[in-house]
Amino acid sequence: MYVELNDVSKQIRRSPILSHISVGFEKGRVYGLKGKNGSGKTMLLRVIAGLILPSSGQVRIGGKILGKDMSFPESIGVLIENPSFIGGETGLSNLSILASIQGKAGKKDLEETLERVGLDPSDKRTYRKYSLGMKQRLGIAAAIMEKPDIILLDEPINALDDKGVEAVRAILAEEKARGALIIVACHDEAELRLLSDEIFYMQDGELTGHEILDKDREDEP
Amino acid sequence: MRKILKTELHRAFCCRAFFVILGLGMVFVIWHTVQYKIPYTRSLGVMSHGEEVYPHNVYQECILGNSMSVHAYIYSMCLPVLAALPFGASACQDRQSGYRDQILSRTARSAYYRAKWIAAFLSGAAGVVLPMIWDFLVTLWFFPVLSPDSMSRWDSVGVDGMMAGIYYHMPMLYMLAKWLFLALFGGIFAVLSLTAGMFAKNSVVVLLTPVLIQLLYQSATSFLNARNWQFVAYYTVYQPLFSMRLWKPLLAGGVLLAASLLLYVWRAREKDVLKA
Ligand SMILES: Nc1ncnc2c1ncn2[C@@H]1O[C@H](COP(=O)(O)OP(=O)(O)OP(=O)(O)O)[C@@H](O)[C@H]1O
Ligand SMILES: [Mg+2]
Repeated sequence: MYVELNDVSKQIRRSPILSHISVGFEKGRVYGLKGKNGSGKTMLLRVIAGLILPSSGQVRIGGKILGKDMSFPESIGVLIENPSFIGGETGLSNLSILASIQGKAGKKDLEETLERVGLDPSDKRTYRKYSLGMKQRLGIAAAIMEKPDIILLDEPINALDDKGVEAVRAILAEEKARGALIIVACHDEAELRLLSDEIFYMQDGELTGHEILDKDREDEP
Repeated sequence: MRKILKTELHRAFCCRAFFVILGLGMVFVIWHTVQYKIPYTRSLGVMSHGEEVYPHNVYQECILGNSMSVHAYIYSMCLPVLAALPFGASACQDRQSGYRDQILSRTARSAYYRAKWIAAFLSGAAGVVLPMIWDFLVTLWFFPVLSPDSMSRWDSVGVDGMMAGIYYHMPMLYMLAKWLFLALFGGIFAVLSLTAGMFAKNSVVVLLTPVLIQLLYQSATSFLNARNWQFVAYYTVYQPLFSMRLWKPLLAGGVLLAASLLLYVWRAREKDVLKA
């Protein structure tokens, strides 16, 4: 398993947010997270991204312990809740500012990524003037632009129109084929079933169920 | 670290706030030019008092030349806000907006906060000192570069004043020292604001913190009759007090810097985005 959570729990001011979560994720597969509002989906994604520390238990990525052997996952793209960008910059320059932190994606990659999510790279409008769906698309673009090993998408189809949803489906298929490990949290069960190979169900910070959807992997537990 | 530093510097220097600061500085320079420099050159070009005449020189006629002018006063009082404006609120804003999550999935938290601190310091320093350098260049256009004259009672620095030797022998070096001092305090005020942003949620509060600290400090030093500890007394070429000692504001500034750095590092080391 490329990403492994080992008895991960998280309490915030004594109230449990995540309880004893042990689960593994493999590269080249799409995992769905399903659960009610407040069930802990976003928190779980944050733990995997290294943004919050588990109160107990550990997260291993590629064998290394997060927060111990490495301070952040080396190759990860995240879209968590509502994406945030610099209001006064265009979509492309927002991406290029973020991409400059690692220097993995060049201008060509960024333009290509914008086209993949259905945004126009030559759009001169600043992020502030983007519609809700455009903001969401830019958030997805930021998560995938560096071709990361791990992609975490929290409610990726929020605010997207039909075309946007189709684009997300296509992107997930392409990224999966590239070998990325993808975890998607989503309310819409039907859509989640379409997108994922496996679905985990969450309730009150616990994993309560697991379902494997794709036919070719049914030998796995 | 090098890449995130470049990113943060880009964010600090190529943003609207930084250009606004420079623009405000320019407006200030124009105001001073129209109100002082031009009328002075039109008049004799000399200061006179009875028989005694003394030509204006560039070191005294720039904004920083004269601490008695309303321009210098306003500039010194606004300096903390000007310094904080470009990047002082950025730690607060990044955290509150969730933008930090995007950055922290690409670089180590320590590198991010180190880069942010450096970028804030430099943007604060540059933001307050660049307009004054520009003002000096404008002043050069209107007034001659005369060596200060220690025999004149018109000159800004008393012969027994602080750094008088440098002022009378190498006035340009003295100017440079003033700019460095100004830049240092611009940087300090910017990182004070940045540190406030590690705690406070409201960016207006964060931007006003340095000016509040300066006000408190000014009142306290005035109350204690220790005006030669006030930073503002050292910004200008003219020395408004008798017993100026450079180490005093530097020590006070150093203490402020160290205290804020301590608080900053404490918050920056927290590994959980929900806690800090
Ligand atoms: N900053 C915070 N401080 C304390 N508790 C929080 C914080 N953010 C979220 N929580 C709590 O953590 C729990 C899990 O929240 P989380 O955001 O992970 O839910 P979710 O499954 O993503 O919900 P949704 O479907 O609404 O996005 C909730 O009970 C919530 O109240
Ligand atoms: Mg959520």
